[in-house]
Amino acid sequence: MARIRFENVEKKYANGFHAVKDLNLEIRDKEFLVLLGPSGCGKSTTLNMIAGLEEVSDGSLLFDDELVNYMPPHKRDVAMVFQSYALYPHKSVYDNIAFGLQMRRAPREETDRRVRDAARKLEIEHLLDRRPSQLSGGQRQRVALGRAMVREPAVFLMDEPLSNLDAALRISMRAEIKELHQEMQTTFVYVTHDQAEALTLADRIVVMRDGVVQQIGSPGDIYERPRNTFVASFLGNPPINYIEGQIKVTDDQMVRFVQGELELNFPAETAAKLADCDGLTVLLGIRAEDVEEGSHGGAGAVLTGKVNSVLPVGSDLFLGFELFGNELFFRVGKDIGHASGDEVSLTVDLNRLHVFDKDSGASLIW
Amino acid sequence: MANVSMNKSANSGMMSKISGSAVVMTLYLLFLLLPIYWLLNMSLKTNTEILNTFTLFPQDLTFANYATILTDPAWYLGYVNSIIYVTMNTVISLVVALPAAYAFSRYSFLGDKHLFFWLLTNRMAPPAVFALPFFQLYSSVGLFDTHIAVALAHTLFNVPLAVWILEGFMRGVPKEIDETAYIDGYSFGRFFTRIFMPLISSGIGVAAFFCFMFSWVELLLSRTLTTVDAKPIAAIMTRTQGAAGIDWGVLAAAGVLTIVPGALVIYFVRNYIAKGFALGRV
Repeated sequence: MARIRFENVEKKYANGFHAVKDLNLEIRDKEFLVLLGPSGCGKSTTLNMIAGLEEVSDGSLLFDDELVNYMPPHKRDVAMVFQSYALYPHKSVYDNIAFGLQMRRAPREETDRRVRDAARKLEIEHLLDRRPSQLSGGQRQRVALGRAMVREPAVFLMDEPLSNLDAALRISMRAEIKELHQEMQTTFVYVTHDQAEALTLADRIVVMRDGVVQQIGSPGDIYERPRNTFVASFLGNPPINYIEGQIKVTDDQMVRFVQGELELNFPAETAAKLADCDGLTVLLGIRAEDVEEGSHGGAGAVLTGKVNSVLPVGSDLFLGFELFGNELFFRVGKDIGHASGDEVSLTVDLNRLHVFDKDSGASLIW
Repeated sequence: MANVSMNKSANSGMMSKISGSAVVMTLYLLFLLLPIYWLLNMSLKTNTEILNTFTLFPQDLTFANYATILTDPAWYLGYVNSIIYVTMNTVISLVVALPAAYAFSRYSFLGDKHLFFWLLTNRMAPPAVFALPFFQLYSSVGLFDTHIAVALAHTLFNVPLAVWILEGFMRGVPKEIDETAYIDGYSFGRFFTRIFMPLISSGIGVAAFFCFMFSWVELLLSRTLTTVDAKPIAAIMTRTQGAAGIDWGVLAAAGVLTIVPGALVIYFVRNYIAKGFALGRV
């Protein structure tokens, strides 16, 4: 049982760097929460504050309504997994895993049972006698996970645990971490800069930038309804396309996006939210996958332009597309038979358009 | 025919290449080892032989010179004194340098970079510069002619060196190791001795080696600061001129025995040193 609550938490370093600004966040019991953001956004600092490795400069940090601002790390009942694994190189795998328990003076048989249990779950039983230096990256990461697991902590903290692994291993470990969370039924707080990891693992994602929370929500929510251009750009591969233009409200209450020759009519629901934005300069956001090849009408608008580049990525195709001077990137089916220079028509799903204020970057349809 | 001569020239080229490097190597080794051999040679001769004839091997082999040193307290206590203050110095230097190096590697504080550099500049001054102030200060506080006096004087040079070496090794240990230990419930002291020091053991070995070596070969301060009770072997060796002239054989034997501890230390820490050179800042 562990709920974690940040109330107006600030973190300033001695050198004046303001790492976390006015953080208000409640992490629910048994939740898998992912802190997502580019490097230097304050996500690791936030995690370290939960662990007790960094002091909270201002505000309150509460575990189950108990103030823990000044509680030392080992009293907080947290376990942490680092990107660099942080295994003790001079101890065997067994000792590395057993270590935290020995420190807590757990009975020997109990320690042994838990270590072997964890090793079995992580499939590293045959490695228990080895030294960390004899293991591969993936195996080391499992040992680091095992070390955290045996402690049976109330909160499981992970700081980019998969960043040092190769791509294939990263994906399989992702699945294992998710399983682990379901099995352990504890609160997980996970820091990453990898949007795919965040989207797969999280119950809720917190997107941060320059120490400020940008948006908190479920993966679907964050992806489908980004609150600002930063969140929209940070998630999605290839990234979301932006076209700068004006909102025009016509006499018959139609709301239209205009950029030069390009004109798009918003569907009723979106139009209602934009009704008083006449003349505003906006960024129109189109997710790379929200287009279909061809011009089969429906709710969509047809864009016709020239193919600039074709980048096959196996399952899909990334299409560089020029539309009235804008360079856009779309993800389309791989059987599209176009080459560079071709004229092509794509249908955009108008219900899935994003509209952001150009100056503030805030979403206008949120 | 052409083939044969080609082969021959290739062979001879190979031969000359091999013997060329062998010759250079042999000459180099000879050059290095000759003085040591000559010292050993002299130490096994009688004074008459040393002074009157030139011999490559002792004609009249004798161990009397070694016997003199190992039985006469005036001689062997010199070794004991040297070993005592060298050991004290090494221990003190490491005990002081370990926390200092940890602070430099883990924390940033006001002026840390300048301080770190300033430490190194301490080594730029020759020991002779400090001989006079040390002599006066130690005399006034009653430390003169004690082992600790020499040990402390040498820390002035060894602590900066040890800090410099250890900091390089400590920087190689990720900070997460420290953090994991705190989360696991280790106090700082236990973490430092149980986890951190084993991790940088080769660095400690390298630092200890350099402290030992400096202190063992340093002559000026150790001679100035001692008279009788803590007189080091190097100082005794410079004062062997008796009524009958210089006792060459005994002096040579003392020289051989002075090389031995250094050689032993190098032999035992050679693996650490090799690793240390590969990893650290040395």
